[in-house]
Amino acid sequence: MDDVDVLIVGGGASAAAFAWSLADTRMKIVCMEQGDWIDHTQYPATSSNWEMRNDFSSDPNIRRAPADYPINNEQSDIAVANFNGVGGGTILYAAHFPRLHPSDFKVKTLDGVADDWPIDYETLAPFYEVNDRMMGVAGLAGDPAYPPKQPPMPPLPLGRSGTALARGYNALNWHWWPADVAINTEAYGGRDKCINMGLCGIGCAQGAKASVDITYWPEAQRQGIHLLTNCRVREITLGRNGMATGVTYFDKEGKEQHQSAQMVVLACNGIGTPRLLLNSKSNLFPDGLANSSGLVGKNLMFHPYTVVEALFEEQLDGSRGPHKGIQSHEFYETDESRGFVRGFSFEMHRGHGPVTTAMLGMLGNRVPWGEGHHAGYRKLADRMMAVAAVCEDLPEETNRVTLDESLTDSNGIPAAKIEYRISENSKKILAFAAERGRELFEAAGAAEITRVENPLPYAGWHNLGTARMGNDRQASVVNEWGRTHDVKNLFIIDGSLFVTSGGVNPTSTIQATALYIADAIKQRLGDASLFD
Amino acid sequence: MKEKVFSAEELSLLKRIASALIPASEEGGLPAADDEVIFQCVLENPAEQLIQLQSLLFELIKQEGGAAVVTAWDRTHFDNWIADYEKQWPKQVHSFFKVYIAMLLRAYYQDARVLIAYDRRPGPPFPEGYVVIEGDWSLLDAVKNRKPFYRR
Ligand SMILES: Cc1cc2nc3c(=O)[nH]c(=O)nc-3n(C[C@H](O)[C@H](O)[C@H](O)COP(=O)(O)OP(=O)(O)OC[C@H]3O[C@@H](n4cnc5c(N)ncnc54)[C@H](O)[C@@H]3O)c2cc1C
Repeated sequence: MDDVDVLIVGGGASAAAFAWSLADTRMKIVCMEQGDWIDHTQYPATSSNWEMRNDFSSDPNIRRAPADYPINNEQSDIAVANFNGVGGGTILYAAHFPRLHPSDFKVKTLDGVADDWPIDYETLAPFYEVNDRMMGVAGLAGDPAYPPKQPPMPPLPLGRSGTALARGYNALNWHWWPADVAINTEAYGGRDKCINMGLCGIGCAQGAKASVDITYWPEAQRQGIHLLTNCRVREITLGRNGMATGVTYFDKEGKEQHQSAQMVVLACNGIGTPRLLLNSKSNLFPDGLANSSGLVGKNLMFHPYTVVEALFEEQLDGSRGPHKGIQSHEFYETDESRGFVRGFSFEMHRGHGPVTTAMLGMLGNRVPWGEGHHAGYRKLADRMMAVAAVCEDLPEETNRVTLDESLTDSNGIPAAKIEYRISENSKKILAFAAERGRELFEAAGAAEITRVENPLPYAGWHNLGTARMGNDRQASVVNEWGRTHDVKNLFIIDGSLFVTSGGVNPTSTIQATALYIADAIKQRLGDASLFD
Repeated sequence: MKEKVFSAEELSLLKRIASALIPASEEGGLPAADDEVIFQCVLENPAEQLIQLQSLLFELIKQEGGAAVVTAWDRTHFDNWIADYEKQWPKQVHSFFKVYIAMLLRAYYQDARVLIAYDRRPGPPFPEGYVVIEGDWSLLDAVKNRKPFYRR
């Protein structure tokens, strides 16, 4: 292909929003995604053995699809989860869609830890709104934990599980509210409403869940954006003037190609983006591109999760209905009397399918072998639910993504290696949250607590902070509108640029930030100051 | 094809263990895990997993003197042998049981008869889906009265 104006690498949540927003500039915009389009008729929900399928596992080391790259998690307390293909992580995400709080952007000012973001809630508010509309968000206005917002669709049903949990919250006088979710509760955006399959985490065959392959991408393509699949970018190339000239990539046949571009935009997520930058070494940047601060790959944040699960005597929803129903932000903001800074949100996990119920029941010795098996199972079936605490993780330079010395993907590109230890502050939050989870279920009238997992070792769903945003070029990788400090035509728009993690799922903020950066670029195109 | 992984003796042992782990129950008309349909589903696992199971089975019964010895045990002896392993479950138990139980549960709890017995519609979740009741929204009134509490 001839020279293009904008080359986006990665076809996930942030890329899709960004591409759509930039489409009205009429520039020549190309996106390269290492995976393919996902055929929704192949999702596990379309087969009886949906609980047996590994092809939609969130662990790339288990999935091992051609589009995946391996990740060395050996030195990490939490394993990375992702999906590689058009839609990125949104193919598998649970679509819990909360915004950050205003306080999340100023943790240094408010709590004296980490750093403030160079932007604030008000900056993102209009982009959150556009994104809610484009993705299709269900929820309820009036949440006292947030500034006013109006989700375009009514909330998910509370169901039996939500009702039981809400009773517990009310007994303790704790905040709860229907979760904002990117799931259709009515026909919206040309997609039908949710039919409660409960399989958001392995792909929504109904198309009610807003994965970006069925929200932003079709709109962006209609407006002329080119999305090239099965193109794996190996390296960003650099000209003598220190500007990016394009990318070297492997095409579908595994042939190495070069695509030149006026502007390169990275949207490979908090692991893929630093991996690509670290793989792009040159005389000018021997430690990886745009890495004069030495911070590329550092400050990796997940949200450590603790899960508390309980058994009820009454019947609950089981696995029917989306996983997330209601959430609580009672413990979100800092209260120093708790012995830690920052906090967490509780999200509801509605219940399990039959196989998982049996498996957990057996592992917990509640479902015996032999004669007692059926009675044991009957007590659990559709009677378990959980809460998960999404704990704020503060940035630490020792938590990082580097390149593995020997592991490579199928094109021979060095894989990512994760070094990550849960910090003392996060451990305190996790322990506190586990106790509150127990209290909550007792108040809700649960018969017993069946499981506490603290931390959840496979919960590396949110990959943040590895190319952080900031005004100080020595303490950040990109400026306050996503342009790298070192290379004036190289941008980052994914979760890598988070300065802090907040205590909620990040995708709503990742996309709002991508839209905000697209807007900033458009403004600077207008006055020709984009590369100043 | 895949049952070829196992000898007739191994298949018969696997079935005997399956029905000891999950026996039939008259209540709800539940089949045992060695039921033809369910067991066939176990055999549909990828060949490499079946080969792994086979070698774990071999290791397990070697400790007792081999397949012929175990096959010859009467019901009580066999049940006691299984019960001894259950005492070591889940952490210390021989890996055979970890692998086999996971396979059995996946096959058993997708069987239409089992799902119907537990009031669950069998078959793929799509396109019919399920019903979730609206629930008691009056519970939210208590929270609606709360003043905004986010920090600026
Ligand atoms: C199981 C699961 C559940 C989740 N649940 C939630 C939730 O409920 N709420 C929430 O907010 N978030 C959730 N997330 C996280 C959410 O998916 C991510 O926050 C979001 O997708 C990140 O967007 P992104 O644009 O940064 O990257 P992604 O969406 O991950 O997209 C990155 C894309 O880049 C491509 N790529 C990477 N490297 C290259 C390369 N070298 N060349 C070409 N292409 C490349 C990848 O193939 C991928 O498609 C979940 C994630 C998972 C895995």
